[in-house]
Amino acid sequence: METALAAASWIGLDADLLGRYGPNLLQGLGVTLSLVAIAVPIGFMLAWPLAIARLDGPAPARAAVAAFTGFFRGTPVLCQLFLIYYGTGQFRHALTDVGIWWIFREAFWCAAVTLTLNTAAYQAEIIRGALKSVPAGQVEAAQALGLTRLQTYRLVLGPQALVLALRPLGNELVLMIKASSIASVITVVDLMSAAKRALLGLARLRGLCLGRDALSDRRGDRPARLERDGAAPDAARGRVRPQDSATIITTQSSVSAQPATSVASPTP
Amino acid sequence: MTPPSPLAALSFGPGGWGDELLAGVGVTVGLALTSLVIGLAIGLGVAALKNARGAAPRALGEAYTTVFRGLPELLTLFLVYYGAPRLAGAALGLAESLLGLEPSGQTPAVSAFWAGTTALALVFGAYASETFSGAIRGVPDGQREAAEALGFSRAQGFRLVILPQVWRLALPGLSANWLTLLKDTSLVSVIALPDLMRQSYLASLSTKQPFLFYLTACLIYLALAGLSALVVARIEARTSRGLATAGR
Repeated sequence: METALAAASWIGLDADLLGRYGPNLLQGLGVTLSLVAIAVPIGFMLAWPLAIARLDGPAPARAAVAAFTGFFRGTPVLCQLFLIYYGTGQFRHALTDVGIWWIFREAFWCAAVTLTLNTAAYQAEIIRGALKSVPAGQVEAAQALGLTRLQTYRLVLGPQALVLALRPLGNELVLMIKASSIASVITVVDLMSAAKRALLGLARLRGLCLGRDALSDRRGDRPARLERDGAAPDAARGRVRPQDSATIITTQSSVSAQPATSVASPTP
Repeated sequence: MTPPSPLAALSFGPGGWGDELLAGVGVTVGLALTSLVIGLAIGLGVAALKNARGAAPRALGEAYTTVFRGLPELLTLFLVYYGAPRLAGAALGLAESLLGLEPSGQTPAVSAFWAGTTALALVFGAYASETFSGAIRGVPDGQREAAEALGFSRAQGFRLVILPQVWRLALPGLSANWLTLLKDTSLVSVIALPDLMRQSYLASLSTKQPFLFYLTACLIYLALAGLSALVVARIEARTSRGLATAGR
């Protein structure tokens, strides 16, 4: 035991450290579990109508569902998360008007929305495959009994498909637990960039560290980059998304170029 | 300050981010292909372990697969990127103390590219080993017996008789693994490797058009996936050539 502890601390694993940060890890586990607990059941409920629409719906609905599942299965979760977390900021005013900005403002809810849509796409494909493998005779029997289409899905095809889908759905649950780790990035990145910018001198150096960009002669980019570094104090205060500082910067710089009336009022 | 058209930010040249995104695609593809080659070797080795005669190599192979399929890819990446220098430093310290040298206290640097490649290859290897061992089991037993009857050693039989047939059976599974790998490369942007995802992040910071750039990045990933589907179809046609006539 003692030698194991000594070996562990020798490569940098420290029992004290684990004791101090253990509670944080447990708290993180809670966040992970609640993300999965939100995403997987809601995704499951979305997946059924999606799968049925893909199999049995009118042509436009089939195409729309195919595009939805293709997009969410074919692109990285990280990209989807950034699209929803950072991308929606571009439509901040419109979303505020509709009254759903509070969802897209919070990193947690953005992660929940992303994971829900992602797992809905995967689960829809699983359920579609399961529905397709139910023998055709079952549909004919349901028709012979005079069941409506909805009844056929609810009473005959659904239960049989669920049995077939259970194992792949279990795999999807495991994949979802792993995928939820990606949610850390939207806060980790911001924390890191905030810390970097807080050190004002470092902010300039960062351009050099990126090397290629800074060294190549690209004058057109320079003003934008310096402006970005100028946003340092805002970023240092806490989590600042690019578009939050962006609103401030664009309004400042557009004062000289445009009439004052067209300048959007910066939000506090 | 505002560009004339929102799409101008995507143009090539000094004003737009088109060339940066293209460079990012190059890094993404390079990273994915390097990880693919290393990961295939790992996968094949681990699959061979899993099909070995002894219990110990089999347990080792299973343990490898369980660990790297069970860990989130992001965590594997962080373990390699932040953990490998420490581990290498500790190994260096041990070597120095064994040789009786003064401990230098150095920790070797690990480049982001190689950390990313290592992590992705470890994960890809775990998934590929499952695909491979399924395919190895899919080769009929008669082939093994025939190789034995011809006087091949076990290793020769595996290399000359089984392996050429494994490729064809493993291809569908491997192509699915490859698509996962391609998407997982986006994670390396987190350790500041300038891949497609990272370039999109920088571009969206600079132009304040995050939606445009992340949507573009998503569409590029989709296009890469579509392109790989075409390539896989070509390879599949090649590996199964002559099969239709032979089988019927």
